[in-house]
Amino acid sequence: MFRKIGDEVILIYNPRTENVEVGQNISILDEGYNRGLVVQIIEQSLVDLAGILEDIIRTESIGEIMVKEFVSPDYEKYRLDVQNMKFARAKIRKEIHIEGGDQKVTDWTGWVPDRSAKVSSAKDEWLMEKLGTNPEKFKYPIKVGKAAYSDNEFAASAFHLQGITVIVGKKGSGKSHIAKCILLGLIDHKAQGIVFDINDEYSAMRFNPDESESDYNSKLASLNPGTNMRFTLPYIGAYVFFDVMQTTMGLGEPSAFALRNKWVELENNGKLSFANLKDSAQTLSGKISGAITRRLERMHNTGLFTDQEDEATTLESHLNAFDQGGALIINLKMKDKDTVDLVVQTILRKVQQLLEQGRKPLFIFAEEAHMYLRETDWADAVTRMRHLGTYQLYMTNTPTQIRSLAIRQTDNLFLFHLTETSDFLHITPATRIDPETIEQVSKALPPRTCLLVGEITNHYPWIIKTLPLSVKTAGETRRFFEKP
Amino acid sequence: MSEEEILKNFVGILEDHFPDANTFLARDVELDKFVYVNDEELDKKDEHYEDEEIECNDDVVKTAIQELERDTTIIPISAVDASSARLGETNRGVISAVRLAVWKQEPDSKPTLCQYGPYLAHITPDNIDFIYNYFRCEVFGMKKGKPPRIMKMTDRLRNFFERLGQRRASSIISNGITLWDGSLRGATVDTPLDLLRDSVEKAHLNHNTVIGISKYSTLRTASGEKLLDMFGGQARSCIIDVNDKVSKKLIDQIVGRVHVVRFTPDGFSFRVDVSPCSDTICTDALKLLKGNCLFHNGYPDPLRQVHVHAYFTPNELLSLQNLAIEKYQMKVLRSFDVKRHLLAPYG
Repeated sequence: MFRKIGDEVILIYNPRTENVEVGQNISILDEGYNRGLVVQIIEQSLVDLAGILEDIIRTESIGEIMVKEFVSPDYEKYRLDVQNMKFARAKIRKEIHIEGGDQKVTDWTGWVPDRSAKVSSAKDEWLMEKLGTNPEKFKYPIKVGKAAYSDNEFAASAFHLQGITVIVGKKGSGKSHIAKCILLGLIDHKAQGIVFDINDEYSAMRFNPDESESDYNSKLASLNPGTNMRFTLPYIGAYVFFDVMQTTMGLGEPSAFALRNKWVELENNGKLSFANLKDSAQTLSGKISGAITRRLERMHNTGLFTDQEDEATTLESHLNAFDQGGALIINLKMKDKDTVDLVVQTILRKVQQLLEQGRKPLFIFAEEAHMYLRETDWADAVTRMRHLGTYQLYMTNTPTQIRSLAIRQTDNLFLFHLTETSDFLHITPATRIDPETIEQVSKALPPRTCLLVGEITNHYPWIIKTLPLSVKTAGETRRFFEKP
Repeated sequence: MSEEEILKNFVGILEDHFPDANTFLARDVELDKFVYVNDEELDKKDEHYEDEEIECNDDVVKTAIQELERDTTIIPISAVDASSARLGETNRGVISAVRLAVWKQEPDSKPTLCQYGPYLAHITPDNIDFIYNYFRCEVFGMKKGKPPRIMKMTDRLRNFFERLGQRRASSIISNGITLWDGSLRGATVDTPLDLLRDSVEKAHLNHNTVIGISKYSTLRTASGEKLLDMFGGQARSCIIDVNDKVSKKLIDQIVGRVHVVRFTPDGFSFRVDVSPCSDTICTDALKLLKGNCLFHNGYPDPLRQVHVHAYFTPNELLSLQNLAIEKYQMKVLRSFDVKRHLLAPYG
C-alpha cells in the first residue's frame, strides 16, 4: 500500500505476479492492530516514473541506430517488471475488526493500516457473508450472473427487488439480458410481472434456442395491442378512460365534462360501448363534439378498444392464469405513439386500480420508459404505485431521461458500460457510493458485465457478469445487409 | 580470446564468482527524479581533479586560436563508454552493475550500437583478488597487483571494462577515429600507463586515431583562468593546441596531444586529447571528426549515444536489485540511516 488520499488508497503491484481488475475487492489486514480495510479497485494505471520516461525516450529516439544487446535474459524480465509496474486506485469500502479470531465488517471509521499491512484479494464468499448477502441464506434467490473475478454464481434476493431497480448501459451491453434473467427468476418464485416491451424481445423466451417450447412457454403471455389485447369500455372504467383522455389525449376540461355526462348516461342505461359513446359525442355542440370525436377516432384507430365481449380481454384474466408465476409481455414494437401512450396509461391505471382493490403486488418491467411515461406518471410510479405494490424495473440506454425523482428513489442499480459524464452524474444519486466509482468502473466494464449496487448487495458495489439463459433471448431486427 | 568474446562472456565469469549472501541492503533509489546514474562520477570525484589539474603558463592564452574547419571526407567512427552502479551491500560485500556501450558508424551503413551488460558482480573479500587480477593478467597481460578496497572495486571494474571496450572500439573500424570518454592520461590510480599505451597502439595498428574528450577539465592558466572559457568571445568553432604548455611531468603521462576545442560555434568547449595514427596530424583528425559527426551542444553525438546507453536509470537500478535479490535468494534488509535516526531533523 503506497498512499492514502481521502477515502482512497493507492496499491502498487507487479502485473506479472498479481492479477488485479477494476471492481476487485481487496483486503488490507494489519494484524498488529487486529484491524483492516476492505477496498475496491476503481482504476488501474502504469506507475509514472521519470526514469521510465527516460527509458522510453531513449528507446524511441534511437531512430536509425541498430542496437544489439548482450545481456542476461533474466534482466530483461526484471526490467520490464519495473517498467510495467502498475498502481491500482482503490476506494475504502469497509473496515475489518478482528475479535477473538472472528472478523467483523463494519462501516469505515477513517482508520488506516500501516504500509506493512497484508494486502490480498478478498474472497467473494467471505465478503458476501460479512455483508449479509450470502445467497445461500436467501429464501428467494435469483441468479443474476457470476462475480466477475471469482466466477462464483451471484444471486440476488427477490425480496430486495421489491422497489425500484434501474438497469442502464449502452445498447448491446447486456441490460435487457439481465432484465430477462430477473424476470424469469421472479416467475420461478411465482411472482407476476408486466413487461412493456418496445422491441418485442421478451416473448422469444417462450421458446428455447432450438425453437422448442421453453419451461416458460405457458408463463409468458404476449399481448399485442389491437390484436389479442383489446378492452371494453366498461372494463376500462371511467376513471382510467378519462385519465387517459385528458392526460394522454389532451382533452380539455369542458369537453371531458360533457363526455363524462354521456358516459354516465350510457352506463346507467347499460349501453356503454365505444360505438355508443362515439355516437353520443356527436350529439354534443359542434366544437366540443369535434374535439371529442377526433380523439375517440384516434383511440379507435389503435384497435385497443372493442365492443365485442369475445374479442375483449382483461388484465385480471391473464394475471389469474399466472397463479404459479408469469408475466404479460405487452408488445409495443412498431406501435404508433397514440397506441403506446394509451396502452401504457390504460395498463398502469388499471394495475393501480387492481392493487387498490387488494390484488397481490406485481413487477413492472419498463424498457425505455421515458418514451411513454409522462412527468406525472414518474411521480405516481415511484410514490403511490410503489407503495401499493408495483415494483418497477427501468431499463434504458439514456439514463438522463429517467426522472431525478425516480433516480433518488432507486433501490438497486445495474450499471453497464457507459461513457458520458452526464450519464454518470445523473445516476450517481441512485447509489450510496461515490461518483468516482461510478465513472471509473463503468468506463472499464466490458460487455455483459455490470456494476451492481443497492439493497441487493447491502449497498456494496459488485461487478458481475451476466449468465447465459437457457431460453431464446434475442430480439429480431430486420436487416437489409445480412453480413458486415 | 578476443575482446568481443570476453565482453560477451563476462556475465558467465561474474556469475561463476558470485558468492552466496544471506542479506541485501539495497541502495536507495529515487524513482521520481530524472537522473542518470553512473557512480564513476562519484567514485572518481577526487581523482578527476587530480587527474586533470594541469599547470599551464599564462602565455597559453596568447597562443593563436585556430578556426576548426570541417573535413567532409567520410571515415568510420567508433565510440565507447561504460558506467557502473553500486546496487547495495550484502553481509559479505557489495553488489554492483556495469554496462558498456560501443558505437560504430561506417560509410554507407546504419550506425550500430552494442550494449554489453548490465552485468552483476558481487565483490567480496573472497573474490576481489580474482576479479581484479583476471583483468590485469588474463585480459591486459599485466603483472598481478594488489586489489583496491571493496568500495573502490566497483569503479575499478568499470574502468577495466571500459578499457576493454576501448580496445574493442578500436578494432571494429580501420582508417577512422575512435572516441573515448575522458583524457588519454595514464599512470593514474586505476590505469597503468603501459595499459593505455598498449590500447592506443592497438588502435594505431588499425590506422585509427584515438580522440579522448573530457566533459570536465580543470585546466587553468597560472593566473587562474579556466582554459575551457577562453573561447568565450568567439562565435565560431575553435581549437588551441596547448600540449606544449603543459608541464613536462604530466605530459609524459598523456598518450597524445592536449587541445582545447569548441566543435560548434554555439557549443561548449572541451579538453580533447588526440593520439593520431602515424600519418595524421591532430588538427586534421579533429576536422575529420567535425565533418563526420553530429554534435549536441558541441559534444560528438556518438559519445553522447554511448553515454546514454551505458548509464543507468533509477528504474534500471531497481530492476537489477530485484534480479539480484531473487536470483541469489537474499533476505532484504530495510535501509537504515543511523545518522538520520540520531540527528533528525538536522542530520
